[in-house]
Amino acid sequence: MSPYILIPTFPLIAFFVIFIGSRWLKERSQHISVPAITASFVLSVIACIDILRNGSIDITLYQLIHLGTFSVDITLYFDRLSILLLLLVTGISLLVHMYSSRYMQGDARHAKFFGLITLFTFSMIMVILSNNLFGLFVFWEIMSICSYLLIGFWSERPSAIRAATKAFLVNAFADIGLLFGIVLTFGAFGTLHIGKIISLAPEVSTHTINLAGSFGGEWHVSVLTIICFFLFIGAMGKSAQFPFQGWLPSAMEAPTPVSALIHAATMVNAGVYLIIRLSPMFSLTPSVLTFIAFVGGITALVGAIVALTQTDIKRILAFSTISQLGFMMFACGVGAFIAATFHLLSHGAFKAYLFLSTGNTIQFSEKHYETHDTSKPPGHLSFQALVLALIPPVILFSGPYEKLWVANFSHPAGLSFLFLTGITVFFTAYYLYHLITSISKNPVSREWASLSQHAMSPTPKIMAVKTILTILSAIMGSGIVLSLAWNGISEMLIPVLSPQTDNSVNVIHPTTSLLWVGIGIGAATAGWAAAYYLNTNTGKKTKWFPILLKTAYVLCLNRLYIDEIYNTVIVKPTLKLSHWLMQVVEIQGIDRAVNGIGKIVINDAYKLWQIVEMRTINRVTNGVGNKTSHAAKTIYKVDHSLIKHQMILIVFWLTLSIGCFYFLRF
Amino acid sequence: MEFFSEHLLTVIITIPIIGIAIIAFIKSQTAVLQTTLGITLLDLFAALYLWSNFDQSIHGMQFVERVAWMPTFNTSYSVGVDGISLLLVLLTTLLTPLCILCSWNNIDQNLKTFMILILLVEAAMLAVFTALDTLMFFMCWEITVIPMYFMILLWGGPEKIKASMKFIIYSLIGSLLLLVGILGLYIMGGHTFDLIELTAQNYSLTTQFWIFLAFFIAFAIKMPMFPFHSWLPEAHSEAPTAGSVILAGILLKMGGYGFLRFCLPILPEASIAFTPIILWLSIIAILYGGYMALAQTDLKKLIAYSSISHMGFVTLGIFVWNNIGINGAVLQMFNHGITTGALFIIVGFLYDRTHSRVLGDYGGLHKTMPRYVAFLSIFCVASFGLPGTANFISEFLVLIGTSFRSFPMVLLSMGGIILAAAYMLWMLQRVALGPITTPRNAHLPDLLPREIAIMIPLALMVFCIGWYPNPLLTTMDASVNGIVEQLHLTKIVPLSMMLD
Repeated sequence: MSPYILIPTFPLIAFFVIFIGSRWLKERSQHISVPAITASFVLSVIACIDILRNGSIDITLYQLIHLGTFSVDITLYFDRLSILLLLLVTGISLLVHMYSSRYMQGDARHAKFFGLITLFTFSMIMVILSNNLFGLFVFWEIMSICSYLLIGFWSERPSAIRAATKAFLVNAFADIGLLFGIVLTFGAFGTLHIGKIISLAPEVSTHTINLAGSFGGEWHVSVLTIICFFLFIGAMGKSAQFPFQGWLPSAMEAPTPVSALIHAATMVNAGVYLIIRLSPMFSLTPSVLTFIAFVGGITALVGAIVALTQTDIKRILAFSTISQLGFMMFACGVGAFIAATFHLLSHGAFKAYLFLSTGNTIQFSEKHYETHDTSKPPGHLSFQALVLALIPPVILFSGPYEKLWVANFSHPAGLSFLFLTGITVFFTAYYLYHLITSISKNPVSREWASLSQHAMSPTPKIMAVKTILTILSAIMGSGIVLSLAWNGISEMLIPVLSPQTDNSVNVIHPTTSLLWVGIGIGAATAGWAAAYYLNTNTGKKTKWFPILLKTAYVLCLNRLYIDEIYNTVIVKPTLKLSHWLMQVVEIQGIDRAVNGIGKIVINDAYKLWQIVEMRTINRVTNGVGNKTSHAAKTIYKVDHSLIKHQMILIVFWLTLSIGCFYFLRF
Repeated sequence: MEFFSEHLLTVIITIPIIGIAIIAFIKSQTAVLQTTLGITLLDLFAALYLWSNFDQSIHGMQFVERVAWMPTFNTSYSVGVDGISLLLVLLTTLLTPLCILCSWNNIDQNLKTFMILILLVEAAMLAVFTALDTLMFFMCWEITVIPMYFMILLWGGPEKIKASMKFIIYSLIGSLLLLVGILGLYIMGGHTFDLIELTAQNYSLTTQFWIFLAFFIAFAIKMPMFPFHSWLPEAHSEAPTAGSVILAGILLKMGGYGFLRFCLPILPEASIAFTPIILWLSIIAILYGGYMALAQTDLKKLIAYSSISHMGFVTLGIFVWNNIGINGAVLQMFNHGITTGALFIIVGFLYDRTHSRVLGDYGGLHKTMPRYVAFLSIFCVASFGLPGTANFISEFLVLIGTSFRSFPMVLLSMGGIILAAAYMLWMLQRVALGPITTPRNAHLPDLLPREIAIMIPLALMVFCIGWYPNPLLTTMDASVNGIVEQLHLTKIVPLSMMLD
């Protein structure tokens, strides 16, 4: 048995210990989970080195289901891709655990919190390491339920619970796509083992089915296209792609460390990871890739634009996450899976830094920041904003996207990418400026609901500040190291992700690359400058906006009304349909039919009783009785000869009737 | 000991009956409860002993016992188990002790009668699941109805009279058709009631058509399938907790068991001909049950409608005629018994405290009853089939099985899963989370040790099956394969040709 089994086992054990002993442990639960995560992080680093030297490792834990041709194994698969993600997840999880041990000080549900984030870390590790779509789906859903419980962590607050339910249901809706994709995969490949699926994919890609066959039409679609489409739907939900993005901003109801861990750095990346993991299969289906690129592009743009108008720091960050995830998807869509991986890693580190620093600020002042304050920020903060704004374009352009065209696409994709990136980087710089500068300003009087109810620790100690600063610089540093390490990472991932492509072809000329970096940095600086200008000359701001822009502003401020659209298009009709079915089909239809039949039967029985029993039979029997007694009296009086005569008559009738009966029977 | 191992099934069936005789002479209430609990636990251990001695590689009947009963009619007392019935025997013996624990102090009158009824139902159900003689099957099927009727009528909720009436009329119509089917088989199959002999024969298509129709309606009422379900919500919601658990947990499975034991092996051509209708009815049941549950304001009715939806997966899995589907269906019966039973029990706890089943009366229970809410959440997520819990495995198997037949059906039935997630989470949100709504809810006591003792085994089962279903699957795999192999040899006749 390989020692790497312990990487997921430590968090799992920690979860069980905290879960069972939560009453007894209380605030001590962090002393169980932090060491456990540290251990898995250290082991992940060791595993990383080992795998880079000796190649991938496949560990089968046990057989979950075995039925004839259908078998599912729970496996751990370490290769160059999964190990990178593993480092990201365990690393950020470790930092978030340490950060939360301060952040959650004094909260009554300390143990519950640590139990849940530890369980989450376990399931995320398992999602990354699963080499089986079934296992991946299982842990994918466990992440969902952890996210549900953590968003609704402050469960006396109705908005938190609504957000939690919404997040889970939106994800569940998309996960139906994933589950269906998995069932289809089994139908087409006969296995759910990812390695086997990838090796069988070229063979299966020639199969087509006629979708319109049942309607007599002809519409042949490749099986692989359908499979990839449905798998991508699942990825869209988890990675908050348009139109499923609505759950992520609401998920900001969760405690800030959770937002950093789950809703920025790790869980939302699972969708992108799924596409990257199955990239050899996806790159065989150009139509799905185009769709992915399309969805990713829209998401990137929508996220950035909506982020401009939001007033809540955490919501801005959420939309920025959405926008960045859109970029990753876009990169996947144009076939640049390595670039997507790199973006995923660097964004994870970068966004964790932003969230934790936000949480830091919010906690110190116990107030909620609004970004609409217009006083002039100190100069060093403006500069910091510029630096932060430049990071995304540098990450985006300095290298990763050189390899953009390794797969199937050519200039149109590149141009649209450039265009989208330009706009998004511009907006990103703009809202980042707002974000950073607002942190320095005086807190707005409106208290943040979540924190007023959150049993706050007294005043944070200076110790805490030091710890937190260390943590932040660690995250920041890893982000920078990551962006510097691009070349190494791309070299490392090429054999895993695109073994078939020849590297010597398609390498973009260095000057082109430099030009792009220039464009990116230019766009970012322009965005920063615009923000700076608008922010310092606020008086003119309102005059600047024509009516059309105002409409757009309102539209964006309300997050494009997507929540409301969902509400009117999906939620309300579903509830209405259920009530209608209840009233019309169940009560008016089935119940009434059953009751009606019952009534008819009872009425008939009553009538039968009245007519046949009471009137006829009773009357007949009574009549017969009367008649007989009457007859007896008469007979008593009549003559004997008459009786003899009548007896002959009776015998005659009897014989006749018996004879009739006898002969008619045959 | 020798005697016990040789007559293990008879012992399992008779233990509750002996128990009835014993508790009839006990006066003290607690003694009655303790004795009944002891007897049912003894039965559970006997069933576990049966399981440990069961040979998983044989697909035929095991532990067979035959004693002639009425030789003139070729009928006998004969029992035996295969993998499928073994699972249901285990489920029955597992749930009955929990039923007794959960009615520990909420049955305030005629406790002894209530216990006798529970034991009687248990014995009858065990006999139904093990019977190898169709007449005996029918008699025990009937015997289960009567105690349930009295349980609803005597210990039920406010609308018990209407509910019990509906229940008994539906059940009797079902039994009547079952009797018709069994007599039809008796006449057409060479005047015998022996199930194995009846299975071995071939019947003409017309015969199969009519007998299948009778059986189908009988089992569909019990399951219940879509248009025959309206007895279930009322019976479930008006019955006392133990009654609901027995009804939803075990009695409904008699329908699914009937399909597997009678329809598929004895009438294969008719089963195949009727398949499209039954599959579509199952999908309607899955979606319709989900929509109904979404519209409920009564906790017990919500769970009752959700079980219509879940039982839809059972019929779906049975009638896709492949190994994976049927395995999934039987496992779904087992899992549904556990999770729905647990949900009824846990809602019963709340009812014991407040005597209200209306959703709107609750809110914010997580503050006052954290343990209660923890268990409620576990069973809610298990009920909508969250991966890692038992129901997911069985639903996934059914979906995989269905995928061999039709992908649109898979997609439609997945709609049931998302509906289930919606109504369960919504219920959880309204009952357990949020601010405390009424002053009464602020003073509700949390779960007692006895109540936790009931919940823990159920929660453990949910997770054990969810992470390691192989022991249950291998138990029934050979038996299921037997059924499937026979179905594959059957020629396919469309429904329109059946009556020619």
